Amino acid sequence: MAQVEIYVGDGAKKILDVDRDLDHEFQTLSGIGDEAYLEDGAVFVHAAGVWVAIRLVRLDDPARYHKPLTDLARTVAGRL
Amino acid sequence: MRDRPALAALADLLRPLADLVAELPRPQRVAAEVVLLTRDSEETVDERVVGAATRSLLENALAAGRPVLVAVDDSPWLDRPSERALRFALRRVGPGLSTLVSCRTDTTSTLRIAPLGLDSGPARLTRLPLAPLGVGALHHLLRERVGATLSRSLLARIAREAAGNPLVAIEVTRAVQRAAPTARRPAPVRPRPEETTVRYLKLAATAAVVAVLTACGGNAEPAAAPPPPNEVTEPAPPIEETEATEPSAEAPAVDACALVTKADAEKLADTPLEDPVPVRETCTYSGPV
Repeated sequence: MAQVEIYVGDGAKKILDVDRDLDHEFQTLSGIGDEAYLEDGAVFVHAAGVWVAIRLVRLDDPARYHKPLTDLARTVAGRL
Repeated sequence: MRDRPALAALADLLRPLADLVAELPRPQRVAAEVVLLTRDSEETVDERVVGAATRSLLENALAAGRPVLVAVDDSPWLDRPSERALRFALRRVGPGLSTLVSCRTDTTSTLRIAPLGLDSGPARLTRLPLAPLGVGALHHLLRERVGATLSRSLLARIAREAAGNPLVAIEVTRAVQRAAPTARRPAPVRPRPEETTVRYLKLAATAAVVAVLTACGGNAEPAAAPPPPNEVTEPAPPIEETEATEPSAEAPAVDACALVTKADAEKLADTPLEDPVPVRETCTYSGPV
């Protein structure tokens, strides 16, 4: 099972805010866009005034996808 | 609220505990029997007594060693007397009671006050926000519950119109099936059959979504009464085309599917994925089904 969801705009920021309210653990990603945050199964990036959330649904160890999520956040920030 | 029978929800909730009613003190017993409709309701029943009876029944069940879970679906639509009685009881019942309450929020609201005063008591409250179902999940749901295997484009339209709400998606799909029994291909009617289907779809979805955009928590009335069932299940005849196929004025300038391509998504997921399904400002890549 695999699913990749991309949210652009206010909806992306909303997901980040909800996850923060739920005390999810975030890792700040420096050097990506204006700000970027990584959590298990998702990455959030803010660049050029636009928020983007990328969620990955996989059933194995979330830590395995931290680097791919970080790499994709960097790519997305460069495209914005 | 006026069209919802008073105390109907509480009666449903207390019915499994009806065998404990006889042990209640008389005022509470009378109130419980009125709620359960096992006694004439000529006798005036004070709301506080209904609340107290509710509390006593829950506590007595716990004291008897029964596992008790109070489950309330779509709490804003509780009839008000039931809501007040539950609010009263849940604040006072001691430890051991589990409560599961669901409510729907619109997509712009922040987390709100918990329904039924659940955030004001000593018990630990856990919030589980449930996001709208994506296209992939709706595909499985509709195949299992409706037996419908829809074309990708139709599934994407249903997902968009239902805003990820599974119940709305089911009703809309059933309406589409009635309008075009062979849902995988457009019905052979009038010059633009696909658009006719979309009109059915939009009308049915619009009627149903009204029920979704209700506030959560507090004592406020829901924003609108739920549509009568026939509005959802019986689509009206086709109407003139609406803005359904017109681009939204609020569409984001950034295309989510262009921002993260299929190759990007497959690299991230480390597995092949199907073609993207864009829905408003989102894009979803799902694994093969």
